[in-house]
Order: sequence, then structure tokens, then C-alpha cells
Amino acid sequence: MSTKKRCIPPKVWPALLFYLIIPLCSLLLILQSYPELSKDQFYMRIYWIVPTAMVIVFLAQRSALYQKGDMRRFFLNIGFSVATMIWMFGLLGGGVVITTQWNGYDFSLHMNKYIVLIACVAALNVIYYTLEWRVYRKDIISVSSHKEKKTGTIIE
Amino acid sequence: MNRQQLTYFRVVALIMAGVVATLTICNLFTIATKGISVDLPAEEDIHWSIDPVQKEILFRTAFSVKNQGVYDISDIDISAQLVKEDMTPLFSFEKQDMVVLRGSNTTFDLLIPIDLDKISFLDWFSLMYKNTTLQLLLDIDALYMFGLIEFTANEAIDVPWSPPLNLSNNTTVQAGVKGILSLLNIAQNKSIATLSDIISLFSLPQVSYTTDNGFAFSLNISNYSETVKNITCHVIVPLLVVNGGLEFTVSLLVGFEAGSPVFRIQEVGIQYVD
Repeated sequence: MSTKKRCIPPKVWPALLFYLIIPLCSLLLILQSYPELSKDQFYMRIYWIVPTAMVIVFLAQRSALYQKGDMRRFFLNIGFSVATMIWMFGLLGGGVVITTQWNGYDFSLHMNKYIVLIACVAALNVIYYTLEWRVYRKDIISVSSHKEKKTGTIIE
Repeated sequence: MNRQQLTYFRVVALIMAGVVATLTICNLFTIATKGISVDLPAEEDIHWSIDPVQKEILFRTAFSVKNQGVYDISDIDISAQLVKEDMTPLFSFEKQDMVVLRGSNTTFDLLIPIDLDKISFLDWFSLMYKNTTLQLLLDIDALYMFGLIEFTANEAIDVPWSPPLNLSNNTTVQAGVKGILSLLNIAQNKSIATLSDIISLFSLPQVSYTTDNGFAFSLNISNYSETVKNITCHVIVPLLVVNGGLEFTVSLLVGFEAGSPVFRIQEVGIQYVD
């Protein structure tokens, strides 16, 4: 029981809820409630979201296995940020322009600035993970040097 | 940076990521479910009337915007251009900085006047005479979510056009008017004159036609020189809605001079007469 708890860290649940369950339910709800909308567009979004959300959850789970300051945790967190950006990009339809039909006419929604905002937030997260790695790396270095000292004393 | 500051940084980064992800889902839901939509006018929603005194053709139409989103739609700019079949613009119209508040449905009336004094004479004559299909080219831009999302629409709406003034059902008059229009086209270098054009212009009939309701059409052809003819057309069209009529006069020189064709407008005039 306790082993299971360790395998599924708390970070995984919000990631699963926020990146997979809520958007998937929203998309299915839209599909169900508005059958006149183009199904292909929504299926395409689902095809993007499900794998990227699974990757996000996997990365969240893996990164929690390593302690802060560990290089592997740092790279997994960077991967997490990149994956969330891809996820959001997929949710928007995989492009910077969404075309929708209103009253038989085509309207385009240009999301360039919105994509820039998403990129900025992803960059903010990357900066955080970099700082976290730099700050906590000292702990790992001091622990490993302490271990080395201890091992050296035993050998002596 | 100490660990406490790093924790604060973490909180900010998490909140930002959460806000952006929530906005993405909410916006997607709002837009996909047509919480925001624009109803552009269809062909039958575009009406026009003619004001002979002001010498204006007034186009009336409307478009409505439904905004059930959480943000105002701002900076709505609409640019309209009415073009002829050959894509020659008749007029341009712009309306800017309109706003649709969140939770509201707003209808914008568009009153688009065409000042007949400001369009070219040929266009004027063409509008008065020819059945055609004009196109209303609409270009709409709007900003949503503090300018992060931009809506654009570029549409061409057909506007079937029948002349507001019934010149005459008389085929001779119609042939005369058609000939005049050909002449004007050639005179303004809108088309290339061919030998058959010149022959057909020389063969224009002399017409003098009047009706009881005041309509008059006359086409006089006189010799300007040995090889050049002076064609004068005079049309009076009674107006049904108000007293009076429109008087139209055009005088052209047609023929050959020094071995090359001559098409020259000498006089053009349109005026309202009581």
C-alpha cells in the first residue's frame, strides 16, 4: 500500500485532472451539445490532447521520483513545461489561426499574441525549474561530498 | 535567490500556468459553442434607395454581434467596399472603434451613402442604366481578451442591382443608351475600339423619343468634320417619388483623325430639374 503511494506522487493527480480529464470532458460535452459543429476539428484536438496529456502525467510522475536539484528531475521538469505548451497548442487546434463559420461566413481567430503569452508562461516555468535546480543542487553536492568524506574515513 | 523567494516564484508560475490553461479551455468553449458570433448581412438584407435631391444612393444594412464571452469585444473596425463586376471600386466606407460589451447582443446599422457627384460619370451612367451584380467586400477586424485574440473576416456579398430609373422599354432607346455607354467606355479607355465598334457607332440611329410621363430621349448625330461626327445624347428621366426629373446630357466626338480613331467627350452633365 505504502509502495503504491510512493509511485503515484501528489503532483500527478492535478496534472491528470487538469490536462486530461477536464479538457477531455469539455471537448466531449461540446461535441455532445453542439452536433452541428465540425466533428473533425474536435477529434483532431482530442488526438492531440490525449497523448500529450499522458506525456505530461508521465513526466510529472517521473520528476517526482527524483529530489530537487537532481539533473534528471530538472530535465523532466523542462520536458513537462514543453509538453504543456504543446498540449495548449493542440487544444487551440494546432495552429495560430482558428477558422470558424458564423452564419455561413468564414471568420478567422488569430491567436498569435495568445501563443506568445503561452510561450511566456512556459518560459516562466522553465526559469523556475532552472532556479530550483541551481538552488537545490548545492544540497546534493554537499550530501555527496559528505558521503565521499564518510567513505574515505571508513576506508582509512 | 533563497528558498523562500523560490517558493513565491513557484506559486506565481503555477498560478500563471493555471490561468492560461483555464482561459484556453474557457475561450475554446465560448468560441466553439458560438458564445461569440457575428451575423453578417445576406443578399436580401442589403437595401438601397435613391435620393435624387442629394444625388445619393443610400445602402442600408446591419450586422449583429453576440458576445456571451467574459470579455468585451473592442476595436471593431469595419471596412466596406462596393465594387462592380469588373472589381472596379465604386466607393469605400469605414467605421471604427465599435465595442460590444460582454453579455450583450449588439446590432450595428450601416448607412452607406454613395455620392453620385463623387463617382465617375461612367459609373453613374452604368448604375442608372444597367442590370448588374455589385459586390460588397466586407473586411471586419475586432479584438478580444485585451487584444490577445483578433477576429477577422473578409467576405464578398453579392448585391443584385437593377437600375433605379426605368429609362424605357423602347428597344431603340435601349440600343441608343447602349451605344452611348460603349462610347463612354471607349472614350475613357475602358475598352479597346475595334473596327466593328466604330462602324456600329457610325450607324447609331438618330432618335427622338418622348412619353407622357415626361421621359425624353434624343440622340443627335451631326458632322463635326468630314471624318468626325458629333454625337449628342439628351435624356430626361422623371422621378416617381418626387416631382421633377434627372436631366442628363452628353456630347462626344467619334471618328477618325489623321488615320487614328477619335473618341472624345466634349460635354457631360447631370442635373436635377423641377
